[in-house]
Amino acid sequence: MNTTSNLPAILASRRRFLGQAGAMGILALGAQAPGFWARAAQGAVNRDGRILVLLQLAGGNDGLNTVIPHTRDEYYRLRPSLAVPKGAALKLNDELSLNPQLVGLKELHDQGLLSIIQGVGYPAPNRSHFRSMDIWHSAVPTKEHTRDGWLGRAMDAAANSLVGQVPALALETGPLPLALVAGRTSVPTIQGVQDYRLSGGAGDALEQQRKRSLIGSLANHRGTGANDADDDLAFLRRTATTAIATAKRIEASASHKPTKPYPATGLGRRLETIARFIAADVGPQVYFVSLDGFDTHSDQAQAHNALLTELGGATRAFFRDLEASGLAKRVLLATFSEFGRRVKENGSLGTDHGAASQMFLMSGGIAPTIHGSHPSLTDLDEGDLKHHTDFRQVYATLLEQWLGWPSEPALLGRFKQLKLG
Amino acid sequence: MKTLFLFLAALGLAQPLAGAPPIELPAGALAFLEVNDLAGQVTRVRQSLLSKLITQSPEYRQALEAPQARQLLAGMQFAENLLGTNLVKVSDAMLGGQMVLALYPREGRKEPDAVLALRVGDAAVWQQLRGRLQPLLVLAGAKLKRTAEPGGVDRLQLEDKVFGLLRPDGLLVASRKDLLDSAEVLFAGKQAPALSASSAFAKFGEQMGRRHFMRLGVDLEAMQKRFGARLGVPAQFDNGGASLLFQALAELALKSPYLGLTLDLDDRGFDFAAGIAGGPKQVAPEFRWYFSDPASRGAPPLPEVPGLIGGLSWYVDFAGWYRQHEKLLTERAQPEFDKFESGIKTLLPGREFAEDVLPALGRSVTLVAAHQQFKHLGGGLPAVKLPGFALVFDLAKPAEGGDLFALLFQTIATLTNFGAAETGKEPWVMVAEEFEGTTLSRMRHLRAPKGAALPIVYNFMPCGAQVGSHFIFASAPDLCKGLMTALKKPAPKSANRNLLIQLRPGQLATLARNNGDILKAQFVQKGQDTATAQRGIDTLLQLLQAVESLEHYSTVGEDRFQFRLEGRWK
Amino acid sequence: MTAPQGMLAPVDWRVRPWTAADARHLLWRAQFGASGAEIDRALKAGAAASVERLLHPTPSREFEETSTLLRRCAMDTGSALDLKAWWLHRMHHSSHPLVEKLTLFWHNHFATSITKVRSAAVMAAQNDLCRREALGSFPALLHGMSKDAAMVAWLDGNANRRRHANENFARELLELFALGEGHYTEKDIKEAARAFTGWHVRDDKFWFNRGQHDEGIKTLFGKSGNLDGGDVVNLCLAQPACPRFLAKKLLTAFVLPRPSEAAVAALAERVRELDFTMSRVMSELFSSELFFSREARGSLIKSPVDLVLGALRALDGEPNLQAVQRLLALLGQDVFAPPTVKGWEGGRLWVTSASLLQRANFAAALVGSNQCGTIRFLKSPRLRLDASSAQLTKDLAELLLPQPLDPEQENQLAQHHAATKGTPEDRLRSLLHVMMALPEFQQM
Repeated sequence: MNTTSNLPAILASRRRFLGQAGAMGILALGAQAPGFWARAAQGAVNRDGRILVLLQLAGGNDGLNTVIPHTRDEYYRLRPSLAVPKGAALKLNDELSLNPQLVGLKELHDQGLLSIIQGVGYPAPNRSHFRSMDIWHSAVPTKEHTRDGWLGRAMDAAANSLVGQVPALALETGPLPLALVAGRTSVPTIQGVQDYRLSGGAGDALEQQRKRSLIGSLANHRGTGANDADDDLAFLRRTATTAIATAKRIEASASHKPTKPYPATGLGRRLETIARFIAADVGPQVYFVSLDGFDTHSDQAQAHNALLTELGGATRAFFRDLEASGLAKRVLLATFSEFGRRVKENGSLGTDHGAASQMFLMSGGIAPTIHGSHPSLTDLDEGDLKHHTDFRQVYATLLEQWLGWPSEPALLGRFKQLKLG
Repeated sequence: MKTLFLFLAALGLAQPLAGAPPIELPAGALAFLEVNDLAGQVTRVRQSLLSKLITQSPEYRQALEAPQARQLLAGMQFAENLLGTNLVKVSDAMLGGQMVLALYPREGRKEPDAVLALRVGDAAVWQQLRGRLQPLLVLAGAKLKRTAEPGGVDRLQLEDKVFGLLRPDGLLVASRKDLLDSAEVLFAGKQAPALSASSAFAKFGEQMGRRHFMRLGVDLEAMQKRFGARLGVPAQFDNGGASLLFQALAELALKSPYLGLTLDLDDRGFDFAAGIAGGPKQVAPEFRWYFSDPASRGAPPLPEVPGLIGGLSWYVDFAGWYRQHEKLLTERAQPEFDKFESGIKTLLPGREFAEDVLPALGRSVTLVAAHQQFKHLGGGLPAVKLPGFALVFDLAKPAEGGDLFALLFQTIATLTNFGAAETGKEPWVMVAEEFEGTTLSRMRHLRAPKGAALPIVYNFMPCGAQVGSHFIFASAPDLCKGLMTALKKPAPKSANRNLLIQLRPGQLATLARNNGDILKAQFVQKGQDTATAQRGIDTLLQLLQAVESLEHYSTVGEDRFQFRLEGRWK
Repeated sequence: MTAPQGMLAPVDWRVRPWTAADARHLLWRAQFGASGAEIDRALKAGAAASVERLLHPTPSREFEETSTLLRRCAMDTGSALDLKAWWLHRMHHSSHPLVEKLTLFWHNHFATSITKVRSAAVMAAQNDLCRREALGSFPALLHGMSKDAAMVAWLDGNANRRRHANENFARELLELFALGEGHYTEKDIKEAARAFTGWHVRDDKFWFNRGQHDEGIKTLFGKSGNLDGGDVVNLCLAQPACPRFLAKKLLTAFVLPRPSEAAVAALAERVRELDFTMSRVMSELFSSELFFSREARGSLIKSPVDLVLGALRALDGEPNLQAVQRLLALLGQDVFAPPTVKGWEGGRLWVTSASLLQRANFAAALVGSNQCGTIRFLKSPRLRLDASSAQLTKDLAELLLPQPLDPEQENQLAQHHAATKGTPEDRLRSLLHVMMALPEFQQM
């Protein structure tokens, strides 16, 4: 894919953004302190690079009721009360339909922004939420108690090219997701713009601004004898300078108004924040968000419908916004869930923990494709769908073909990639 | 807290005098605020035990030490020197009468116009003050135009923005000349269209009384004309809790000509009221679930159980609300209901909330908290002693409802055994106990817990019992039994209450005293030394004991709805 | 017994003078920060008397009474928050801060979290053990830990049964508590685990569950027999790797982040010769050439506890312990709840771009509001508010920072102070805020 072709649009959006936020705000640091560490921080802005948004569907999404093989009789037989009626589903092609709640995704599909990877899983699937989620995050199915995650290791391996920036950001309330835990690179988790800022402390706005710029300038000091990259003080100065520069960009991003309205859902708000950070060049190349509640053991329809509506609505708004600001080609959003659910519904109008499921990729920068076929509904593994694509193949694809990071150190092995197109 | 003390400190320096004839302001106001004999009220409050306690407290003294307080005191000193009299006299003179502030709409401008009228309590002191203030008026320079008129009247004008009138008996200030002129006519006791005669404020006066220490009235019809018919009230709420508590009230308020607030104070307490006009019949049927029948008592009084600390009793046709949630709430809020119903099904296997549970619910729910004695622990005592809590549900269908609640109780009680071992709690089994001829279900620890410093979880023992059409969930057997006895007695006759909240601060003080060391530790954790912490607790206890009762209730009438908040102190 | 030699030899204070900077360096390392008065006192007392005072201070009854109140509160409520407040109060107010500093060192060494143990009482008992042996005997501590109720719960001791050995404790004993990676084999872990079978806990107390103890022959480090847990601990202590492991940890915690092999070997030798007696080891360390060497000065990145309590102590502050513990959790050092059995690795891992912002924001909150506590420093008679901006900057840098600032930085700060509007106190607050937000303030 040719990234340079997107440049004019990106520059235009940057210009517009700078116009809104006031170029002074962003450039102030550089202007008042053309210092040592600031150079790294400024150089680090991920201007034309690609961005991966990882969306976790926590709880185990029922893939079978998300992308529906509407031609298979077994689906209707095994899901007597939960099956989506043939007429209601949103038809994608002769074999597959989307759940009717996913009108948002259908729109993305019709615009050529949606890819689906079917039958994703891993060998000897584990059906515990905790363990299976760990496996998806660590990408090491065989080893328990891994201390880092696949993206964490990827960042460590790419560390040299990430110097002086915040490579990833999780919009989470809890601790850092394991996928982003790294040995050498630190990833902040924030809930929103307010969590990552440099306080000006007491005094009026001017006094606060004075202090903030002095703190930035003093952190950006190239002292005597403390310039060795291995020196702890140099490390502290570098990190502080990056932090302050990133905080400035995040603060400036607050004035970036979405070009399109977002639904007022939790996911909608978080994706809106991400779009804002992307438009403001805050820096991270990877964003992590999750949507929780997919553990639908009973009365699945109501809860699942609500979640799919939230998913479809928020991602549609996200891409409408990105398209309008010319950024959709730079962004790829990938969904995953710790497992799919049993093919056969249970006795309380729900479904229990299963195995293989699909992943969605949404982006304006890849060719829309439906990868692989829908797993068989008759040839099952203890009642669960069998995977034909290992999730690590998808990870390898995203790392190598999208982010341009080496996949082997991240996945501790080589995996056959898909064609992103 | 500090601000409150500062405020009280400031009031503490003011003093009393008698009342005055009512002031009238011009008609057409959006809202008005009226205060009568502020100085006198302050004296009465100052003489109460409560305020003595406050002024003796270390916090109050500390507050007086604060820089803001010192600035305030210094400012007052300066003012006294300037005025040549003490501020107590000044405040008596100025605030002993009546003060009214009203806001008027002005075409083409967002900010309203204002008129302030003040009738002084002591004309002689006022006269003296005016003499002292003359030089200051001169200092204001050319911007301020001053015209002396016969009869001791000074007319002032500051550019085109402020118009004032100083009279021997008071003063008037307005932001528009014509408003000042109309106000002047009324102030002099002549006839003219007056604020109190407008339909909204007339209704306010008629329904909530005309003489109060403080009154705030809003002409909702005028507001609607100016700010739109719905005044920002959404047609559908997006939060279930807010809908249940406020939506029907907001709808009623939109039909009311006024919104009124009144406050009365004396040395033994205060009485705050808020009201609107209109009754259940004035709102559309989908909002009537909130209102009890004006002819009925609505929510029952709190049951008199031993050691009652407080509680609330609420009339609400929950089923009536729930069945309309799709109408009342936005699309966004709907999934919450689905999640709630799925959750309830886990606790009530095989039962559908809307089908099976709603019809069984009655029209009121009561929550109470009361001291417990822990006899059920067989000698053991928790280190932290919490009160017992209970929920009493009114059942529309006692038989089916009772079964459902019993099922719910059993499921919850069983769930509490999961994880018991991890938290170090002894597991328990359910037992039935006869009490006054009624069955009480509760739990029994397999081994009686020993010691006087048991973990906090030992404050909670689930109990369930049904008395007639009431189902009791309690966290303590003492309270459950107390409720069983109380609920068997016929409830005393009472006036209509839609929502009733009562608090007995003396009992709260007992609770605080029983856990004194833990409270003290909390103060120390915040950075106080133990002696200061102890003084803080002592003050808190004395304050709580000085307050006799705090009560909040709302009443539904055929043509009015009112909230009251009453406090009584010693 | 031989005396310490070479880099561990005591500094000869007759050869070079004992300065305020030396006193500040000693106090920041041996306790949680140092106030101006404490630095003055240590300066007057001299090096030897100051170390002696750190080791044997005068106890305070008032402090112990308040501490008892806070501990009882934690026991009564069973709340982790109250438990943390109790300990943080000790760290800040104890008349024997070195003991608390080492208690925290041992808490990190034997990192156990209340999130799994779930009992405040059991966690407090483990903390008591760390405190009792803080300046005591490492062997006693290691033996105590192997029978400690919190440790048994934390590392699944009750699951360590005769036919199904659970290796969790044995593995961590060898890897994290006594020897370090590379000094044992997987076989050693298996054998050691067998020796600890049946070392259980019942009713929050150690309980030897005889029926679950493996009475067979085990072989560890070449020694065979019906070994039990106590034997394993003793065998570990006798391994040369043990004093080395401890020496390296002490050096990185108290002296410098990347000690040389020679320094580790030298201290290990002293640890062994002093029979793991911590008071002697710490006394020698705090008197040594290495400790006062140029490379050690300001070389450690402050832990969140050092940062927060240190700032409060330096400014004569009275912490709001509830706010402080929230802050510590945010900064990544939630005491009584380390993330894993490895504890906090510390050093550069304390620092992330987000945590540096939080650290700077803490400085703003501390001097700008009283949400973290109140600071008496601004009212201190020691403070010369009327001094020139340059002098004030110099004085504050001397009090707060481990190393002198570059003149250029000092200039910028003085100019800032001179240009700040408001009362002398407001201006001082502004200067303090900026100074404590410096990367230099993150070191000690």
